Formats: sequence, C-alpha cells, structure tokens
Amino acid sequence: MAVPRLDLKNSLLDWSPPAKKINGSADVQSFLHSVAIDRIKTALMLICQKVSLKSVPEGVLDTSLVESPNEPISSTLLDLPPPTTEFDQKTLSPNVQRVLDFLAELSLLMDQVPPLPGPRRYGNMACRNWHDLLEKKVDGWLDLHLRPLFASQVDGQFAGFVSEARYYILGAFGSRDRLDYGTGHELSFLAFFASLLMCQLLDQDSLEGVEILVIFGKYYDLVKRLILTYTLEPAGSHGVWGLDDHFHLIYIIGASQLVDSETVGTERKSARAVNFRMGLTPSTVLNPAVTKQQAHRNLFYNAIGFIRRVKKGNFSEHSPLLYEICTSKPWEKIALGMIKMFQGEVLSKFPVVQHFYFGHVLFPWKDAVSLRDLPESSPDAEPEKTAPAKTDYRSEAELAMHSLYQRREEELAMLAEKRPSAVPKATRAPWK
Amino acid sequence: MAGCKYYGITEHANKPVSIDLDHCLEKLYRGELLSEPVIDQLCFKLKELLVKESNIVHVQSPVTLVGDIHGQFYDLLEIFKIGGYPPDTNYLFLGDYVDRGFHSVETISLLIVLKLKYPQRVNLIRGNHESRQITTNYGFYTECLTKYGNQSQIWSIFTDIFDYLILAAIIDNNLFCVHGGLSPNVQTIDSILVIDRFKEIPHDGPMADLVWSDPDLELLNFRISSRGAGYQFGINVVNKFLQVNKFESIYRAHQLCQEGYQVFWKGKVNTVWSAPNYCYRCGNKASILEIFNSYREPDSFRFNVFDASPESQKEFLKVVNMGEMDESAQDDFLALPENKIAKKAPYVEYFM
Repeated sequence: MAVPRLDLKNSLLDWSPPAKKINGSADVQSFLHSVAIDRIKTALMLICQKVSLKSVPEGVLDTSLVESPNEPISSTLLDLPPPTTEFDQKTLSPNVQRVLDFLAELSLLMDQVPPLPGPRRYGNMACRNWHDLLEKKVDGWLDLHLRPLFASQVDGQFAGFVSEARYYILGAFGSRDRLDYGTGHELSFLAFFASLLMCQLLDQDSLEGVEILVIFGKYYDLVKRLILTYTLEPAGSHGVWGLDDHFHLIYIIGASQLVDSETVGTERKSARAVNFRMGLTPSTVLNPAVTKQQAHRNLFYNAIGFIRRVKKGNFSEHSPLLYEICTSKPWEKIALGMIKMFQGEVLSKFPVVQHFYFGHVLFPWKDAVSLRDLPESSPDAEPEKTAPAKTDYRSEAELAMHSLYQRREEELAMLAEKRPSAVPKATRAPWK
Repeated sequence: MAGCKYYGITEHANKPVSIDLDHCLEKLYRGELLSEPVIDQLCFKLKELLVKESNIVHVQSPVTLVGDIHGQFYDLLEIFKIGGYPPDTNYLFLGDYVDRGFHSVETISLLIVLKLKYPQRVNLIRGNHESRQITTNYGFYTECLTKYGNQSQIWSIFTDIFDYLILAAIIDNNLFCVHGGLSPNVQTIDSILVIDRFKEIPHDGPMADLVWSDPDLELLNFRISSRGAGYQFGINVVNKFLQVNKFESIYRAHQLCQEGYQVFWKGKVNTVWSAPNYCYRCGNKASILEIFNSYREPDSFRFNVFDASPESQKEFLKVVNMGEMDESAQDDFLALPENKIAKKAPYVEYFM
C-alpha cells in the first residue's frame, strides 16, 4: 500500500490551478475511476493501516470540545487500558511538527475573528471573515511552515505545489457562502494530507500511525471549534437519517484504531486487537461515561462525544444508524462498513463531490487505467436549467385560464382513468 | 362515488379496500404507521380533493398557523395539546412537514388524514421540502425506504401528493400566508393564481420563490438568496405587495427562530417556527400563531410559544416495536406486513 511519490525533480510537472469537473451524475461515474479517487483511496487505506491499534497520545485532543456542559456522569467505569505515556512533542518528526504548526496558525486565526453578537439563523457571518483571512494568508503560511520541507534541489516546484494544494486546504473548513461544514470538506482535508504524502513532505514509510492521529486530531479539533464558534450548519445533512451531521472519515479512522489491520476483513481473530481493546465493545459508545473516558484517545469516541455535546434527546432517535451498528456489530464490521459507506455515500454522491477540485499534478482528471483525460462536461449543461423554447403563442391570460381550469379537468380525468398504472414501478429517485 | 367520498370503497390492486378515516386517525395519533396500500388510497382521495382547490385558499379566522415541523411528530402532537385538536381548532399549516426529523412519515400521514377528514378546517401549504429533489437529499427518501422497505413505492406516493398542495392562503381577505416569501415575479396575487402548480418545485420562477424566499431587515428590495434558490426581500417590496393587494401583513415559516417566532417591520412580516430544539441540537423554542380575528388589535392574535415535547425525549423506536403492533392488529388490512420492516436503520447493509 503506497501512495504514489511524485517525481519533483521532473521539471516538466505541469502544475495548474485546479478546477471543478463534476457537473452531473455522468461526471461522478468518471470520478469513480479517476486517478484522483485512486490516490485518495490509497491514502485512506494507508491511514487505516498505520493507525491500527494506536491511540491518540494524551494531551493532543481538546476534550472540552466534546464534553457536554451540564451532563452529570456518575456511572462506574470499565477497566480500561492503562494510559499511554504522556505525549512528548519531541517524539514527533520535525516534518509532522511543521504540519502541526501550520494547522495551529489556522486555529489562532479564529481567536482574531470572534463571532458577531446577536441571534442568527444558522452560521455566524464572522466565519466569512475567517475564510477571507485564511484565503489571504494561506500561501504565506504554507511558505513559512511547509517550504522548508521541500528538498533544496526541488525547491523550484514549491510554487507549483502551492498553486494546487491550496485548493484542498482552503476547501477543508466548510463553505464560506453557505456557512456549513460536511463530508465534502472532510474529503478535501484528506486530499490535502494525500498531497503531503505524494510530494514527500511527509515520508509515508517513516510516518507513524500516532503522528497521523495527531495531525487528524488537530484538524478535527479545529473543525469542531469552527462549528461551535460560528454555529456552522450541517452541509446537506440527512438529519437523523444519515451517519452524522458533519463527519464520516473520523469514524473510519476511529474504528481503524480499534482493529488489527492485518486480520480485518479475514476470518482470523486478532489477539492483539482483543488485548488492545481490553473489553471496549462497540456498545460502550452508548455509555456517556466511557465516551468521556475514550474521547481523547480514540476518534470514534471523540466524534460520539461531539454528537452528545451538540444534540439533545435520545441517542437512538437522533443517531439511529450509529445506535444500530454499535449495538449489533463488532468493531471489524464497523471499520469495514464505514469504508464501504464512505465509498457509497460520500465518494459516489454528486452533492458531496461536486465541489472537489482537479489539477494536473496532484489529483488529475484522468482515467486510472488508461491515464487518458476523462470526458469534460460543461457546468452550464444542466438540462433542468435550459428553458424550453416558447412554442405557445396564446396570451398570458389564455394560458392562465388553461392552467386554472383545463389543466385541472385533465388532471381529474387522468386520475379517474389511469389510476392503477399511475404509480411508477420502483421508488428510486429518477436522477440517481 | 360522490356518496362515499372520504369513507368508501375504491379499487386498489384489484382488491376492494375500505378506509376508515377514524381508524387511521387512531393509529396515527398512537404513532403507528399505516400500510402502503392505505396511504396510496388516502393520497388518491386527497388528490381528488386538492385538485379542485385553487393555488390560494381563502380562510376565515379564527385559525391557528403552524410553521415548519420537519418530522418532529411528537412536537406536532404537542401542538394539538396546547392549541386544540382538529376540528375544534382550525389549522393552517405553512409547509415543511418532512425531512431531517425521525418521524416525517408519521407526520405527513397524520396531516393527510386530518385534511381528508376535515377538509374545511385543515389546510396544508407546500413548503420547499415538499419536493422530490429536496427529500432525496435531506432524509425523507431514506426514512421511507427504511420504514417501508427498499421495494416500497411509498416515497413516490407521498411526493406525488406534494405536487397538489396549495401555494398560499389568505385569511379574512387581509393576511397573506405562504411558506417562504415574496418573489420579484409576484406583484399581485393574480400572478400566483395563474401558476400551474401541479408539478415538482422548479429551480426558479415564482413558484420556487414562494417556497424559498426570506425577508431581510437590512434590505429595501430583492437580492439573490445564499440558499441557492429564491430571494431575500426588503421593506419596499413588502410595502408594495401589501399595498397593491390590500393586505395587512404576511405570515410565513421557513426560518429557524430561537424564540419560536420573529416579527419583522412592526408585524408586516412574521415568521412562525414550530419545530422546537430543531434537529435535536438548536435548543430553540417553537410557536404556533393563534389568530382570533384580523382587526389588528393587540389581542387579535397570539404567538403561543412552547418547548420540545417531553415525549420526543423518550426512548422511541417505532420501527423496532412494530412487531407488537402487528399482534394487536392481526388480519387488519391497515397493519403493516412484517416483511416490509426488516430494516431498523438506513445503510445498515454496509455493515453486514
């Protein structure tokens, strides 16, 4: 499992500002066998493999973000694994530390942009200022923190790297216009992370699972702060009928922490995984006390803690899917299922991936097998938006009368006549 | 057919089916689901009724206005508790019955039966979520398949009835009620009357604007909405619309209000929001607007504010409990066949 290493010594690398390519469901099909999705999925598999049986180190995750303010917790706790050793920043490789320094800048930026006072429907408008400032400063921060990671002989490629990679980091924190955050933005951060691997800013061989957890942990803390501070709306949320209002990837990483990547998906049992979990079954997710105790070391529990913080009401009702799988499936099925669902409900869904950007070097719009360019569609080719040519020359009033009376007479007649066959065969949304 | 309009025998799948609206109501008030053939019959009846209604229905006070519900069924029952049950109280619902909440099917089913049972006392305006496209993305589609099974046509049946819902209502010739708001394409109510409403909500145009637009205190005229459909409209637009059509004020829903309602421009536009603690997370209050008369006196209306129903906090998984229901309703046509409720939550197949 290796993410492709780009040959940065090749001076012919054709960096170009990425563009959106997914304008309709046909483009989603192209995306599903593109070089871009291949690289994203490979990076994801690498993450799952590396974080297997690893905990987020103590002191990395901000537990205040996942604690419910007024919730009394009094139940007795399970026997839990002994705390891992205190987190020592020095154990991180210098490269990882620089990536964290970069993310820390974004977090500090929030302190400069407090939410505007006064009741608002959803998102706080101050978030737009945060996005604007980020857009202005991101190139400088990439230069300050990540440029030193480029080997001197390929330094000339850095400007090209920024021209593509900035789109993925800028897209990782929600929509400036809609003031929302969802799985598409989470996907954008995964792409940014994959870019770091591809350009060897992070070395995928020496990169530790714990380091990956620290990077993603810091990212998720930042996003949770954004959601809470600026009351960001769930992007395209299915309400109770989805996995989570905002996240999906966090559950993949969190569940992968609890399974043995060498045996997951096979019939074999893993003694290592059983020892690592020490009795931590999926149903403990439903116990607020355990959630509280695990939230700082496991991203799955961390995500559940965040749900408990932002939602009131019965867990089985506001999060029926999480409730169902955590009460009936083992961690191995959950880890695999989360990946399958990511493929089916995130990577394959037009509303999510329509905002993804494609450049020439990092995430090219090319077929993964033939390496040929994938077909391009026009953003204006949406069939619904083209107005039908006017062929009816009756006056407005005549049309109105037709609409009011004739049309409804016809409807009635049709209802009476065609009744048995009026219902189409299958309840599938026609545009799927 | 005329004699058995709302209680009668009609053809369905070559099998005569009798539908007892009272029986349906009893079940729905208990939070139980109706079977697909029954819903199908009810929707057929409702189409016959709604197809004769104009795009704008005239209503007399007293009447109670209800804003967005979004599948918060137990909060709808709470509304009846505090506002009175139909037909003792007249209701005008302002749309957005489905999506996001856990009980959109129960909610829309109950409203359909209430409209059939009390056609003069219950009116249902169309909201932006009463649409095929929106319900596919925001939960109702998934809920339908989860509760009735993958082979079910229940989503098509419900979304077909959405095409028949009215677009607006006028109370006492004086108060204009709509789900979203005004449109640059709607100067007079005549321009609403001429809309051919029996279709999916379009991307733009007057019908889209009526269900998508929002008032904005900082505006004078229209501005494109960041929602991606409809407009934001300001005070000049409102003044002109009220003046041209000789209305007192506009009542609408569509936007979450922390206090359950919001009054714009000294009451020229009012938002009614009826989903408390929206999406289990917003911590907001909700309200219904009780209009006693339209004399524009302080006591001629009242925003009746309420909090999340304690019922909705309770453990409730009706889909899981469906087995019990079947026992109590054996050989009952209204009972859901057990094989249709195999799934408890959506997407579980990914985890098999």
